[in-house]
Amino acid sequence: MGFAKRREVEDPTLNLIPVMNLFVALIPFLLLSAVFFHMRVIKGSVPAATEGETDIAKGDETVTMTVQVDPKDGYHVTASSATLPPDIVDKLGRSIKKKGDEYDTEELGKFLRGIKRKWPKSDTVIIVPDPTVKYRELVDTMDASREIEIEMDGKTHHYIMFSRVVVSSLVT
Amino acid sequence: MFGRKSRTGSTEFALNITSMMDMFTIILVFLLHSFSAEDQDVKLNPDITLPHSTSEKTFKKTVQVLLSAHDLRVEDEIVCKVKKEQFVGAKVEGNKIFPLFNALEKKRARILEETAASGKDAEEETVILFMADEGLGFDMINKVMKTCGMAGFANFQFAVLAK
Repeated sequence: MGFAKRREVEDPTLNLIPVMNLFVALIPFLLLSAVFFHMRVIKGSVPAATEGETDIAKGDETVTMTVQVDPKDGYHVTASSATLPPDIVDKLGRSIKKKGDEYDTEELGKFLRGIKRKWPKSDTVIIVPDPTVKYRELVDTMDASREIEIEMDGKTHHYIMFSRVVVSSLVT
Repeated sequence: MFGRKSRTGSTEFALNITSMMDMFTIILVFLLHSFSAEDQDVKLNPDITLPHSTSEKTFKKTVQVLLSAHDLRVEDEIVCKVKKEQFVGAKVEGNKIFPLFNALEKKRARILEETAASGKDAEEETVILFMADEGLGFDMINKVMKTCGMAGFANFQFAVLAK
């Protein structure tokens, strides 16, 4: 006659203390390295008197677009080219009215995309803001001129248009 | 729940750290997501609210010009005070802001010396990393940009925040 062996019940609790130690060490390190803002840049230039080439397009069939930012009327877009006939270049101008208080950046992007598709080697846009235009509005105009987002096959594609941005002012 | 009573009557505590582990895991994932190996060695001026942009270009650390509603700085040094969107206490002729021009001329001379010695491309180094408040008018910004151009810095990196 014997006694039934007492079953030893193992404690199923995981020992999480070493994992906790690891986390406590990792978190301060990651807090120091974490970046809570992502700074990016838009490359641009101002017109400068140099001995180099002009910004007016003179390569094979390219146009340089000029976007005038007017707080009253919106955008006035004109073109210039050293290679295309003047009658074609003159027809490339267009005014884009404001949508309420906001500039119609979407329409500007679509219009410039049409130009870029016709003359794909064009890459320069000259932005001429009015003195009262806010910096935020200038950046929005640069964005609309530089690239456009296109939805295709359920994905968003970035189509690069005028990557060389020149910021100028009206000569008064 | 938190402990069990031993035969002698003393209580043995076993801390339940599962919920704390859950919290730490969430924090860890968030921090790993925010972790950046990029060079973000740039201090943002609390007076400046950068505009948002779709640009994905990362910046190269070059000469910084900061324009806020209170002052104009080259790197950390205030070169001119700003009041009601006007430069005050500084000589300004047309688009030329003299203290800014002088500070940038010195910077340019130093950069040219360094690039001549190291063989680097001077044009790549004479670029302004420009940070301006999104609410400022183009009149001020134009003056700063033109002065930079006059001092030999015609190329800019306009600092923005990723959308």
